[in-house]
Amino acid sequence: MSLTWLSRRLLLMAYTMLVVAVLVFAITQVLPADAAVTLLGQNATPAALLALRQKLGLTDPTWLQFWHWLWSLLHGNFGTSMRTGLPVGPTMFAALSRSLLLAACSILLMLVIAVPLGVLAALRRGSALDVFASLVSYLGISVPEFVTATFVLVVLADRLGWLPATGYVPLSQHFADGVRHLIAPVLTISLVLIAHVARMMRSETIDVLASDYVRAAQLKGLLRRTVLVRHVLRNALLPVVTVVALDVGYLLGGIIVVEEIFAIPGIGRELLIAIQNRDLPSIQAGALIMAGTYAVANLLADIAYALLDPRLRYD
Amino acid sequence: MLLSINDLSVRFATAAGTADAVASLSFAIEEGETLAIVGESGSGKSVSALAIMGLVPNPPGRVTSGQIVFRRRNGSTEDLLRASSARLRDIRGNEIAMVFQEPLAALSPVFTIGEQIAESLRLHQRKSHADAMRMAVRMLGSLGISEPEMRARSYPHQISGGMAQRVMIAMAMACRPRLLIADEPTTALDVTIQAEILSLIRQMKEETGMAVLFITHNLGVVAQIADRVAVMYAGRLVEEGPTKQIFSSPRMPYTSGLLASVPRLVTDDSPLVLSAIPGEPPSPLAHPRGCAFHPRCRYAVKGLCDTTPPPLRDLGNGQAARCLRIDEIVGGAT
Ligand SMILES: Nc1ncnc2c1ncn2[C@@H]1O[C@H](COP(=O)(O)OP(=O)(O)OP(=O)(O)O)[C@@H](O)[C@H]1O
Ligand SMILES: [Mg+2]
Repeated sequence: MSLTWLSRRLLLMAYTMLVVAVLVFAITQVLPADAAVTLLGQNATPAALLALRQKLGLTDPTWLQFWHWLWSLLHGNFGTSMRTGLPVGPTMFAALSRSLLLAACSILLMLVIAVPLGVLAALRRGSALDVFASLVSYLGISVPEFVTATFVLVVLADRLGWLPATGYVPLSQHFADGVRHLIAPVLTISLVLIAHVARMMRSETIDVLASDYVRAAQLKGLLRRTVLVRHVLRNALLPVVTVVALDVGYLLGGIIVVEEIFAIPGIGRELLIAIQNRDLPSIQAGALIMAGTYAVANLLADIAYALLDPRLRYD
Repeated sequence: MLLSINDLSVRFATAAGTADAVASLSFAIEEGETLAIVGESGSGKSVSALAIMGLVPNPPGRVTSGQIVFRRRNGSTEDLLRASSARLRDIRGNEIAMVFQEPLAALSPVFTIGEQIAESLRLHQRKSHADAMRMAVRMLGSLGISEPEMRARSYPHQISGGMAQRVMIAMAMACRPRLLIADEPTTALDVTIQAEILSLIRQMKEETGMAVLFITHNLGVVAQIADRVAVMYAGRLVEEGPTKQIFSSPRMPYTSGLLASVPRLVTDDSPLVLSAIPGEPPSPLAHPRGCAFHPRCRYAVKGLCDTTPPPLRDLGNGQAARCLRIDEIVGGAT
């Protein structure tokens, strides 16, 4: 992986974000939302509305509005929420940090469960464990997360009373309680991820186990354990990186549902509230930040892939 | 005797039934000798080699009978089918090594070539990483690879098939094994490279005195490299003997058919053209009764060849063949 590759990759990302910005701006332009009406209410006089529009720059030509918007974005200014009157940027990034915590925990749980599960299922094809793994996979892939979430809520919170039903407690405020509040949403999200990755891991491991290079490694007289870790796992993990990166895209969508159900003030919930209130700056910021997160996740996946797979070290 | 295989049978459980991939196979390899195993596709050559290495894929495969006795460097003998896995690991890569048909597929894509050669040195000779890497580079150099330091740092996707086969040989030779099993090591390579790989194996053999079990379709290659030939058909040994003798006076009609189908020029690389043997090899799911070759044999007679399985008959001079009509068709089997 060379510096030119990295800079080209970053340039591409910047370009993608520019396109996203244009799209987000264009879509919010055609939304049936008038900032002046939102701010002043339905009963405001036409004169007052016009005055406010002029003040907000809404009477400027569209390209100029876009330019002003982009210019402030580049200076880290996402505008002011029309609902709360607070700057949008800090609100959204705080929400994003909560979502990222949720996502990171889910990905971690997924890796801890799905990778061993997939490998063991591949090693013991047809065993009870293998059947269990494919059952989990089919469930995770076919059941939508609002059903999983409901199930988790009913069983773990309602029936067993092990977990609080909904809500969010910052870890910095009360760690144990914060963790307890994270469990249900993390379980919900990771089930789908586990399903994807365990399946992938199983089929990759089966392929790699049958490969000549694994046979060659066994022929060297290596311990079975060494062959598995150094040769099988190392190669079978490669495609999983891509799946995880693609799943981040899913996560960003799924998290909206999960955050709503479990009342977690993350970026998905924040975006939903913004849409319900026709809060244009918040909608724009939320969409942009989500797209940016996806782009960064993809970049990280590409870098990880290049580090793991010498065939992709572009030079 | 370096390796002696006795009554080896390997079965595969497939969806269509049980396949007798190797049936009651026996042969031996002397120290320093090159034995070629020839036979059509599916005759059980690779499975026999994998059985020696203890790597028959299970499931679906299973060794159902036999002994594979190997004489170790320290003089002790070991039945490879019954040895503990620790013993087997100690022998694999160290005293017996193997190269395959698809060298590029046999190299892990995520490690450098040097690392992969060094791996068995570190394992069996307890070399440090740096020492093993230095030895790997030297190994590559002695195999005629230019700029060995640079090559050792390459990844498999950066080298050609011919280069990869040299690397495989370097990997196999790293610990100076007493037996090298080469399963069609040149089939996937182009002509000029084939010749280079063959002479490389010969050179290694001269340097170390190892024995070679050379599996091939190509009788031209056999003529160049083998001391003795074993012919397999439908999982069985059907004829064996010194190379010269097999080429000049084959006694089993199948061997004669194979020889007749070799292009005139025995140094030619072209794959075996089986025009001289009509029909297809039998399915391992249902071997013909009697002599497995009888449906394709022009000497087959009803009531004999299709009912009685022929024994392997010792013909003296180290030659043996499996044919019921061996005395009647002597000299006529062309
Ligand atoms: N993995 C497997 N699963 C099922 N059957 C197998 C498997 N490997 C080998 N066999 C069976 O064993 C028989 C012999 O296979 P083998 O690979 O030894 O043939 P070969 O002589 O090496 O042929 P080739 O010249 O094509 O390499 C095959 O016909 C097949 O029926
Ligand atoms: Mg084969």
